[in-house]
Amino acid sequence: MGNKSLLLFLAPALFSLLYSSSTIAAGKNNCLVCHTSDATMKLLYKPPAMGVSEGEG
Amino acid sequence: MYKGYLVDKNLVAKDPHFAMGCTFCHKGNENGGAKESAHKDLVKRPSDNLKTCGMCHRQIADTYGKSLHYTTIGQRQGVMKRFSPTELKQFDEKVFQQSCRSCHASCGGCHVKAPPVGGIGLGLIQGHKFVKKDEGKTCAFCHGGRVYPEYTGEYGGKPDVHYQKGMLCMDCHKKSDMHGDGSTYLSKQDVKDRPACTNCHSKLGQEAKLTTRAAHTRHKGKVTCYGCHASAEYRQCYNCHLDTGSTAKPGFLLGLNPRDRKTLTTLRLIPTVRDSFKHAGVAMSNFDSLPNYWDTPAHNIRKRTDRTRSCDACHTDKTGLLTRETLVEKGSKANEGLIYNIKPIPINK
Repeated sequence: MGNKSLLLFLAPALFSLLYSSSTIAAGKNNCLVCHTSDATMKLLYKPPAMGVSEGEG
Repeated sequence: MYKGYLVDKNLVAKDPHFAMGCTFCHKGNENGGAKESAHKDLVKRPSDNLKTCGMCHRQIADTYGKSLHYTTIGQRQGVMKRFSPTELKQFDEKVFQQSCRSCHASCGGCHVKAPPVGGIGLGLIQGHKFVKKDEGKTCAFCHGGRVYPEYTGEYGGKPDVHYQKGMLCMDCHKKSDMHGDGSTYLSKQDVKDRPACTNCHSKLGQEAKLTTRAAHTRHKGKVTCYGCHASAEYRQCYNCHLDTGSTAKPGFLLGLNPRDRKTLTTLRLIPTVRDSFKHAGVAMSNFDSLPNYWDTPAHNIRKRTDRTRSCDACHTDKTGLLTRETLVEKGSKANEGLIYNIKPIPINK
């Protein structure tokens, strides 16, 4: 009985967590796992290659 | 720069464009575990295909497909008379479609990601927000060689007074100018309701100050607003070749409007030369049919300029006026038709 009550109590909260718009969006938007992370994008981005003499003062 | 691809996560829940998921527009593989697999078959610029945005913004997509920003046909129209029919066909295939047309603006180029110029781009305008406008990151990029820096004063002259008053591009160039109005125009000159000074400054000839009133009345229909109110030199481009580009330097030119030979206006040198398209094997057998100078609405307007302060600037000193001696070397024979022999002001009048 206690477990059932607990489950009934938590169900709405669980439902909101699983089916909120941002959760749905995140599920469809796995791309955003990388594309919203500054650190990840910095790691993945390759700057264009410079010529041998470019960048020298 | 990686920040150019960084999406603002706060947009995801709020912006309906994200509701269908990234791959709805961009394709690719959202289940790819690594960058390469995730980007397989990625569409970088989905709005290049107007049907993408047109799924929801049907009417805008339909009209935009006919607008000059999309078709860029004005660039072709401006030069086509120089070609024979055979040369024009070659120009269309080898130059216009591959070079000129690559500059057309997609929906995303104005609303999502700043357009790259010469391979260099700012990236997402505001973290993939679908912005209504952000002239400094959009117009300023494509039109950053000439108009925009002249307008802001970055090119070296004083800023345009409209810029100082807080006006940006869209304050004059309205949404219908950008999106189109459903008509297929071949030139910006033909666009209905395009910007005109008199749209706001409508009471010319009614000024309280006598000299202003006289100047406006006397020059009406003979000199454009820019002829007196363009305040500084603007960029003149020279000697353009398909493979090497062109050079540029500041200059101020007054001459007859090639489109209306009764009117004196500011002119800009357009850098097409006789062998501009030689690299693509395209000649211009009718090169001399068009001049090298075209009327330009110099975007460095000020109320007081050398020419508004003194009639002598034009009528005596002839400052900036096109002459036979100052015409571009090896230019079109049509250039001479733009020279205006300005008369001194009679003393008794």
